[in-house]
Amino acid sequence: MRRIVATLVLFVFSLVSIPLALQPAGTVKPSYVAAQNVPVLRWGATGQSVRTLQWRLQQWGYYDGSIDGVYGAKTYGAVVNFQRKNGVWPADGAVGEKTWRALGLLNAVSGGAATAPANQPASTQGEAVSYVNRSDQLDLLARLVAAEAQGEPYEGQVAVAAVILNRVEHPSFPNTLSGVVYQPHAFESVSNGLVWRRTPSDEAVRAARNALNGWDPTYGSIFFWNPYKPVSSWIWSRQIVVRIGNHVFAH
Amino acid sequence: MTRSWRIGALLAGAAFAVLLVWGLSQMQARREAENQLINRYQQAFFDSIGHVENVEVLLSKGIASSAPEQIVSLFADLAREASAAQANLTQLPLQQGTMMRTSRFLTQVGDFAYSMTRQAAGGSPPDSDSSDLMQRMRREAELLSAALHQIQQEAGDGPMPWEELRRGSNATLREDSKHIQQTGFTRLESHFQQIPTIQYDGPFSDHLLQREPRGLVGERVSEARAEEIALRFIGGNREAGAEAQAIRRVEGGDIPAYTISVDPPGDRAEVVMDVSIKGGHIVWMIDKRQVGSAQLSLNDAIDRAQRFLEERGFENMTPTYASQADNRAVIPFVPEIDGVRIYPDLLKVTVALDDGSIVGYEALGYLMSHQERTIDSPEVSAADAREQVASRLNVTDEPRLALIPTPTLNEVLTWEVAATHGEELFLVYVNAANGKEEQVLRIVQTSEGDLAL
Repeated sequence: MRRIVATLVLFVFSLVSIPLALQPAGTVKPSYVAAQNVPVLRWGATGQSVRTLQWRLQQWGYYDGSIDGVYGAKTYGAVVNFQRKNGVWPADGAVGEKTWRALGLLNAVSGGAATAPANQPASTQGEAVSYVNRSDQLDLLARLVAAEAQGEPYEGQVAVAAVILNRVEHPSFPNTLSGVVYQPHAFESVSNGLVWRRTPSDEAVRAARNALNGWDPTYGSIFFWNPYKPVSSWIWSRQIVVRIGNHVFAH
Repeated sequence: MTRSWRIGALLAGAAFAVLLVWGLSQMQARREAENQLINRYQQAFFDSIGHVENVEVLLSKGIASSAPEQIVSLFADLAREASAAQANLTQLPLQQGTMMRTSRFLTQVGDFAYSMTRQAAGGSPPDSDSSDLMQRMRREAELLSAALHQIQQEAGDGPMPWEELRRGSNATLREDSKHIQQTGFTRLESHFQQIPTIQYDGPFSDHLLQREPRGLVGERVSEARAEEIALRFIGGNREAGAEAQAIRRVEGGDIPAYTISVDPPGDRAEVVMDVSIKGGHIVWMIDKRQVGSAQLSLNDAIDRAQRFLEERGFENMTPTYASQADNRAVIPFVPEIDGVRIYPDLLKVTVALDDGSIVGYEALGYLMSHQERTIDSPEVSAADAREQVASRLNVTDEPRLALIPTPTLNEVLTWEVAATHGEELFLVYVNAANGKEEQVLRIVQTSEGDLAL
């Protein structure tokens, strides 16, 4: 009888703990071991970096499973296969700095807490105090780039930043950066809060700065979307300019 | 036995009560958050109706009025109201793209009002063309206002069902109202897709939204030729082991181009660039290598960039306000022809400050506007321009001639006068034909370099 009681109490506690588990992931420490800020992924790892890994392996034909962010048997097989073919030794399935570099994702996954000070806009540290600077804009833009275009080729990250800036200049969109970023239902990562959970990597900050400096690989595009994700069919009626990495850019 | 049953039942009851309380509080919190959000949306919606009504009224007053001072203040109000209406309308939680043309119309009304203020301040009253345009805009504003009112009325007593409108689903909408509400915004949008083009002297006028690149001279180049051009641009050659390959095509933009990936010899990082299909011009280039800590000064970097451009056939390029961040210097260059700086033809070179190599190049602006120009000699003398500015500011440099772009993509010859006011540095542009002040830029010094605002 006592066991039933214990089970019941446990059941109640597990119910109460559900909302705790549903808290934004950013408040929970990542489970991977960080060496030089690069996540080391092993069997059983989960999260965005696993997703990035699976996506790249799939892109290069090593992986045919689903991109679910869980490092399981299929991912392991693909990683070992990749390591053998690319001379990453030992081919033990652990994805560390060497493997990330071979995947061309070292910059995409590095970052996180330890690099945060470097991401601080220099103007807050420098001596020149001015009432006008672009550091707030740079930070907001870099956040959106990090949330929307992580794992994309560098010019693809600049392209996402450029689309946001093109919208600011476009008559059909709000005419401030914050207006464009926070427009309801405009960006998935803003709607689901990812934009605040991810610290922009140095690469994302550089991409944002490049776009603010006027580089626009999308030639004035105002839309981008990932054709692998479900998108409204309306969006395909826009005039497509270019496809970079996993994103289609359009007027 | 019965005792432990009772304890069990008691515990289960307590657990249920805890769950119930927790669940109810969660529900209430969620409802509160939802209401707050709906209220924000309702406010934006009501505000947009109010501003659209004001737009309509101000346009009708603009038609009725004739005194220049009155017109200036009327159109200043109109510009503000139209831009507020657009800002509120774009914050409604509708499906992407639902209100694009509608908000573009409002942007154009505001932009038109702004250009009218400038015109009226210059002393010229609205001509018949702009009166006609005002009549048209007024009719559209009436219609917009009526349509928004209708959408509001059809929501009945409650707030608008924002979530359903976005998803396009109709789970909780009443059968009769859902159809009209869902299509209300869409119908509005398709109306504004069909209105005739709106042309006036402002940057968002329909005739300016389409533009052709002027600097794209030359014949069409093949993909193989573009690969060669890309290799040559970064000074690589196949004998040394560099490889170039077209990886995609840019078709729908202002400048159709091949994107070429160049793989330099050794373990150097990839270099990517766009080569225009017409003429084989480099539109942009990026070297993806990691840049080490800075060894070079900004002046060294400017020298390197200048040499880079000269080697590639760009002559008479003058560096302007450079900025520096992340161990890289971005140096904008403009052509200087017979002492006149041609600001529309701006291109940018990025220099890595570790070894002085060129890691970035961007020439879209240059290719869009560069052309052979005949530049008139100035009617206003440098001394007059200086005199005009010196009444308020301390002029620091000799005025020099500069061709600057106007908001409507025209070009105007000016005297560029650098001057200070207290600690602050300004660039004042005085029209070289009539002595009017065309533009004032304030140079803001940040740790990354000078910013012209």
